[in-house]
Amino acid sequence: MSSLCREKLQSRLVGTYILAAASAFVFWPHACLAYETPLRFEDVSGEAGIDFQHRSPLTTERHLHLFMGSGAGWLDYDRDGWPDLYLGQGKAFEDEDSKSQPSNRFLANSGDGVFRDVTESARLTNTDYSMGVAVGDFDNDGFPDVYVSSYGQNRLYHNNGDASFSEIATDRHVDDHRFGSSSTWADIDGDGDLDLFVTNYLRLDKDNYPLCKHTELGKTYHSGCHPRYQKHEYDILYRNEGNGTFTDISKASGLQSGLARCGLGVIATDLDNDGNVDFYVANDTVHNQLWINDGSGVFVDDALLAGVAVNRIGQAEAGMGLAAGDVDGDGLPDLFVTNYFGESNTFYRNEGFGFTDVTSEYGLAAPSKLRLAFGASLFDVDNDGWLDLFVANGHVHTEQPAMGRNEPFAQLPQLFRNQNGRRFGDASASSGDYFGRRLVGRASCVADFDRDGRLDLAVQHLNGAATLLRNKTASVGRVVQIELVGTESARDGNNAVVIVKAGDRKITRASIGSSSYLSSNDRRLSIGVGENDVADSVEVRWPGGRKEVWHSVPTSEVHRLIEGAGSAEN
Amino acid sequence: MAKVACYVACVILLIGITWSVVHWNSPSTLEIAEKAAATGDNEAAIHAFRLHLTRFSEATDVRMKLAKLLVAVDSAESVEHFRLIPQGDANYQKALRQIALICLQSDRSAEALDVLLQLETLDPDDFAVQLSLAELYFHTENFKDALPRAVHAATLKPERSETWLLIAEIRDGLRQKPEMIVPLQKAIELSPDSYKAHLNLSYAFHAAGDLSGAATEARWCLQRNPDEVFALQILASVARDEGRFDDAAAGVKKALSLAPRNVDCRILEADLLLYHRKPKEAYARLKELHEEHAETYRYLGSLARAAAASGHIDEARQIHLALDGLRSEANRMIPQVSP
Repeated sequence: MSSLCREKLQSRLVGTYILAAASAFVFWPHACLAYETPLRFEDVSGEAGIDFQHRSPLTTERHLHLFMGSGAGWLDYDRDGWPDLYLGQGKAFEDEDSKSQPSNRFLANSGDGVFRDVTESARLTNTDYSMGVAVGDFDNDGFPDVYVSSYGQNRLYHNNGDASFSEIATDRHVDDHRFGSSSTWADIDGDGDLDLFVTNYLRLDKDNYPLCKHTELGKTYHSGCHPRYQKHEYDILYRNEGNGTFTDISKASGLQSGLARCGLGVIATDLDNDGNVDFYVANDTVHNQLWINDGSGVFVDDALLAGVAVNRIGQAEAGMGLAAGDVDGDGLPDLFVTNYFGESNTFYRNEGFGFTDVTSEYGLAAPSKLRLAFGASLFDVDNDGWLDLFVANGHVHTEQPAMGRNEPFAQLPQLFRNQNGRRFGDASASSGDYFGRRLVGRASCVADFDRDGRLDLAVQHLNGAATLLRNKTASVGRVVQIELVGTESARDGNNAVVIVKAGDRKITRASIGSSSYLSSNDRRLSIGVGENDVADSVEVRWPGGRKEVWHSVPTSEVHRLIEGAGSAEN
Repeated sequence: MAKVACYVACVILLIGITWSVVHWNSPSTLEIAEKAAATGDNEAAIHAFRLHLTRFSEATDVRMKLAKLLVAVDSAESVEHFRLIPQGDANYQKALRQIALICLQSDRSAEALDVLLQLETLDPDDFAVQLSLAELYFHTENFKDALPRAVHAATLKPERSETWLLIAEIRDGLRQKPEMIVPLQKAIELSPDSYKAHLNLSYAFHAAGDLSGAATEARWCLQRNPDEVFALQILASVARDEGRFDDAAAGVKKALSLAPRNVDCRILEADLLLYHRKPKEAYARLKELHEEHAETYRYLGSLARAAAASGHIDEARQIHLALDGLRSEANRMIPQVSP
């Protein structure tokens, strides 16, 4: 072959390579986006005026509830379009009636990146040991209400619509005094108003508090009691009667058909794809429960056979927090459960007929073996259309290192990038300084607080400062932001499912009342669609069964989709 | 009459003189015993020691010698003699050690434990006692009591690699798998070629989520023994965890070619099949082992999920009932936190 021929051939080969590479960029934009853009979060708590310090002083005897932390929730209480932040507070075991006890705090978002404390003016002062924060518009008046479960009396704060709330738990019969943990709003019977599910943890009576000691290597330590061996409590289901009052239907709804458990996390969404909202409950050291709804508000626990009661080898784990979302892009909500140190967290893939534990296969087992995880948030950090995962970690025993155990109390938080639905990669190391700080993480909740089209994160830490993490991911895909307004179904769009078609992508997201651990995300849905400027269509499946479609939905604005206003088509 | 008495006295005196002359230079029973023992005539020595002790029962040195000789002949009698050494005697601690040794060698664990605990009180820094207690507790699955002894033994004699191995195994028993890593690394530092330590370290690294560490150690073992099924299984698990599913499948296939009925390899194989949405195949592969693993918890857990996923709902329900039974049993074994 002549040198000229060789040169031409080489030139053609080079051209072919360039074409192939260019094709890759054209035809697989998501792949490029996914692997080139580092996820970035910046702690902006200080500049945003988030000066909240959680207080739960640990006692010498190690009273267990003092390790549980408190929840957090995003809600746009004044409907100004800027999500506000509610933060639960702990409480010292002694001096219970002291007026010096710090309160839960409510921080109003000014829209300029700064939050101001409006706890008192909003009449949200609460000095209980707060646990779960559930946000939902239970009276369909358009203003989000807040339910706060506690180690003590649970509280229901009705949003008066005038930037203030009224505490009405006793009047409305939802003032349970047991040790409530996560709670969530959901319309269980399709009557268009939100019912309330409250998980209860353990029976830890103040006057008869179980205290334990643990001996290792010849030394004895006070230690929180193993929950499996304590008295468990049934969870509660309250039916919204539509007149502002609630009825405890826990027994009638089937929730007391088995043994009481020790619930910490709960999520409400349609897990069996039959149009009815179901509940999945993470229980500490005993079987998790999957309450399948028959449509009328009667539930059967199908967790064992559905494959979500235990892990892949049949072991019950120490379930703490939960996240649900369509991780693999098949349109079905998958489940993620946080667990104890030495176990792994567990990721259950929804198969349509049940779930498969694919934690190891999705790369989530190894990074979680040496963590004790609580909060978990599935959200699309880079708007590539795939749900990424944040996990808040922190132990419940302080004495492990003194026992010679490599189990630190404060641990590193983690951020995992969803790699096109097939797997997660640990992105923590490159995602910002926050992920290099050892903390005792508990609750986590998501909102685009600065309305820049990127989802941000608030995290609660046991006996630590609350942290506001602004999403600073440099190059992100576009986002369709949706505010749902139910007319026949619950007004805040709770449990509606949204399917966005954009280019070759079909992205399914559900509006979920509460998730993570003790937390509630902002109700506005932010759905990343990668490089697409316009969503071809947005389909909404309302809880009552109605399906509607909106066509050619641009990505540059927030869309208020009102039930009945879309095109009724399949 | 006086003459008769005088005569008798003379006879007695004569007999006495004769006896003395005859026996003046003859050895004592103790000397006979010592001599017999020295020449290996244990039977004669034992006889002579016994004879001596009938007259001098307080002779604890002699009793120790007799007891030692009896170990090989009649360990029960030997223990009896060791037990006769009184507290406060210089030989007391030695006697207890001998009793412990005999009991350990003859599988009399309860007696050994009792004696070792006495010895521990007498000398908490006796390496042999600490190690023996650790091993004894470990073999009776009392991991909680084994751990402090093993750790103390390792402190007393840190250069002994086997003690670090023991600590790792105790940690495993305590379900503290990540805590196995440090003692295993120590064992390897002392005995770089310890195959057992490398293999266990591979397992511990995997349990702690250190995939590259697990793979490195597994490969070290496979270089020395390419047919090491456990190392192949760990490498396949690592490949699975890293998302290299073809490598994982190939690895588990090779492991199963060497050990077709290895339950952990079958479970891993089933995991991969379930991930690839092949529940029927997973169920069939697991089901083959049911007879021999009907009480193996992790196997039943895997079989239950494969059964449910492949439509064998009633069977899955039955397996969960069986798991409940096993779980109750296992829960009883978990060291409860003391109130």
